[in-house]
Amino acid sequence: MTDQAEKRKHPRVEIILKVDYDTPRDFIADYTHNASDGGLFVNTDKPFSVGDRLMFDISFPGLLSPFRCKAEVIWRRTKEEATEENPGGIGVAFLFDNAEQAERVNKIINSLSGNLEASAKPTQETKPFRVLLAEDNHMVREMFRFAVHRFHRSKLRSQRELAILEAEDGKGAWKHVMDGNLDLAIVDYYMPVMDGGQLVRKIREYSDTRALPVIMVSVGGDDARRQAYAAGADLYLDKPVLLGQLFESLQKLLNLG
Amino acid sequence: MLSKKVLLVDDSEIVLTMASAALESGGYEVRSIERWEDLDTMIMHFIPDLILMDVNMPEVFGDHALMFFKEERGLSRVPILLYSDIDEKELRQRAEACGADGYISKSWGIDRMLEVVNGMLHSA
Repeated sequence: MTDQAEKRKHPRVEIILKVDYDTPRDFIADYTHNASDGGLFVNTDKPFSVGDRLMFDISFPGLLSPFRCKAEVIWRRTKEEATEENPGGIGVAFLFDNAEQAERVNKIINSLSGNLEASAKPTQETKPFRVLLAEDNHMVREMFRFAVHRFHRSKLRSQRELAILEAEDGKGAWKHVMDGNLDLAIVDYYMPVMDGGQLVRKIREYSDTRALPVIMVSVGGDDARRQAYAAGADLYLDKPVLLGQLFESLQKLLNLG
Repeated sequence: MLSKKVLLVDDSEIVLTMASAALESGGYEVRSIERWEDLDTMIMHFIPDLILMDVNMPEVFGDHALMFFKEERGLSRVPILLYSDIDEKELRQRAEACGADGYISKSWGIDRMLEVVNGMLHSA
């Protein structure tokens, strides 16, 4: 937690809170239960007032890059009012900058919730986890596909089947995107016809695909990384890709359900 | 007696030139590829007895490509050694992790590389 005091006549305390949860379940319980009950609970003795604005960095490591989001204090329970069951703190509500931001977070929340519910049902039919692999180098694409399938077979405990759809350029990739039902796109930045940046922009513009998680990969270093994030990629990995990083992201996504 | 065949996979022209010369002087028939996309054309007419695989290849690391060679390209019986200038401890770990048949550090020099290759191919 970082405090940054402002030198105003009536000083306001602007605080950036980094809230870590041990498991997705903890976050879901907090987000869904407390949100409907009046906001995300933050255990704190700081003298916040209702109406104070806070900044949150929301991230799901390996799934989405952090983004900053405003939140407003909507209730407060002082130390004096606190009990063992209901500790002191504040309730905050997220104020997303735009619908897209809210949609992306809500999609992950819903996936997490769905997975937690599904995990209670031992045998449930699930549709395959559909990954788009857009890469113009056929051998690299083949190696990637092999590695991901091998990892899925040997290491993942996920009950979900994995389906990999392939494209050798941005146009082919867009066709798969438009066909729908993708759960993840792994996109090379430099591709013919339509590059990865253009592809991701289109994905973000189209309402049905706006929330699709996109991992961008490239040999382009910092330049490509900047452009990938500017286009709307959720995660950027340098090539050669450390497969461990990619698998970690995949594992999380697959286990989300 | 036919020469044993060695395939070098490395994106460095200098390494390829030096290693090829050393291996040829040791009596081996040597071919090389600098890019992954040349693999299929190569193995259509040249099935190696041993592969020396660089780790820091473009696009895909050599150790990550190794099982693809073995399982997807019918090279499961061909010994593959990682051949790299990365730190030796890391190289050993990566070789063990990826299922390589061994490793050769480029820092060992050409003579020792040839010794290891000789040991592999003459004991096979």
